Amino acid sequence: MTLGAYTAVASQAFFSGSVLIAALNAMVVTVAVSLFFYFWVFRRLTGRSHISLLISSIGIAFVVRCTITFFAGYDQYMIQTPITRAWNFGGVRILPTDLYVVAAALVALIGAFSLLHLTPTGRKMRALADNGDLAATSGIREKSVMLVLWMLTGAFCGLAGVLLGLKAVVVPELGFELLILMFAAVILGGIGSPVGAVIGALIFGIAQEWASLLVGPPYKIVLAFIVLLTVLLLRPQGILGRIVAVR
Amino acid sequence: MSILTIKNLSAGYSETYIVSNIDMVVHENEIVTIAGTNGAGKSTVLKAVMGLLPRVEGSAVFLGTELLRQPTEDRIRSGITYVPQVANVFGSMTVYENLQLTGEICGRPQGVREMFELFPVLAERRGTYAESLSGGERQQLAFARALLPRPKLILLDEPSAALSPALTGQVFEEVKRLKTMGVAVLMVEQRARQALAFSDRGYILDAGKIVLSGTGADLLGNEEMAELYLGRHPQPQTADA
Repeated sequence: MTLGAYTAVASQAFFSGSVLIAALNAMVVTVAVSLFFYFWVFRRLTGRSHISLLISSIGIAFVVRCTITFFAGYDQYMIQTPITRAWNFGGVRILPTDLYVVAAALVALIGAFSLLHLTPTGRKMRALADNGDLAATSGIREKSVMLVLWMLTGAFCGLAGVLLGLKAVVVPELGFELLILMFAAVILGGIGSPVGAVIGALIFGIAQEWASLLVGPPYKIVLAFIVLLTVLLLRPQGILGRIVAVR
Repeated sequence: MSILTIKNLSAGYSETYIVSNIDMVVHENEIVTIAGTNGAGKSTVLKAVMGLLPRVEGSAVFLGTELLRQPTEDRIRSGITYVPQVANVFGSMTVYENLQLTGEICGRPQGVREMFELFPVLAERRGTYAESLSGGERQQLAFARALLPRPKLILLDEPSAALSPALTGQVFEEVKRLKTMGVAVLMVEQRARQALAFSDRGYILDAGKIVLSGTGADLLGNEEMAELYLGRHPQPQTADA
């Protein structure tokens, strides 16, 4: 995500001021980097434990962050958007950019779910996630499915970085600051459930902002994690997670 | 005519082989049962043939093709399908999606309709997630997934595992039905006496080696060996029992 945001900033500085072109450039770069790390690291880790993959992911995040810092330093950047007047919805003023961000996120979400549920490739991805051995004996070619999966991962990360960069200052810690929150949202929604991840992220985000009103911004994260703990105490598998039997 | 010929097959997960020097043959349109004590390596033979083990040596020729040199995902395209013991369907997908996916992979999307005609209960449960199916329905879905590519041979790993005696009878009827469809079956089964009773031939494994082979009737007829490797014959229940 951080790389996507920085690529968008670079695209606006060196090629074109258009946010759309910046987003497309960001997605191309993050797809390329995603594939690079798949071939270099994750393909070799196939079959290893989830912990190995998690630690490797964090390691790669450090590499990407440090590389960005090496070239761009610690300066703060912004993704430039046209100056527009806020729209007034019965007294509630919303900037068009905010609505564009929400619309782009919704389109991406619908696209991801359509791909997972309505296309043969998506079904293969879900089958692989469900049971790798059964998928292999069913004739699913893991390598080609993983290639598409990593391309999509890169594209969505690039887009997410640009959308985040439109609302926040672009710094090397942009994505890293969200990492723990994203893990928390996924756990809250239920690991392995894409719909759960969306619901978890919404609950977590709303809980945080609501907590700002009650206890002030410095402590909002505490209240959000109390919500997480309460849900997990009542439903340890998360909101839409499944209890998996281990033999 | 033999369709699967296994020669000198040794397989395992690490340095030590679980099965060694296994020779086995499956002929066209016959049911062959692999029986034996717990831990004898029965399932290992099937997993080795399907390429699910890290260490395999020997040969497994299926319809003239050496399976052990093929990637696991290509073996289904040779005409051989595999039904694992418990995790034999994609639980997070619906009945329809399980069959639709199989149809897409083997290039037979029309096979979904055929399977619904063959297993009407699956048609009724088409929108149900596979993890919510009963044991019997789940086995039917697993059989349908295995049958959809029109295989010549199906490998079944303990189809009666975790099923009640009543459901076991139903599942064994389905296995017999496979033979009437012209499909050969190589089956690993813990309820060996019941399975051998309708099998054409059988192999008995002990400590990773074949100790006995023959027709189902011959193996069950050898009382001493049968008691040793297949367990005691179930005693008929009496009224005062």
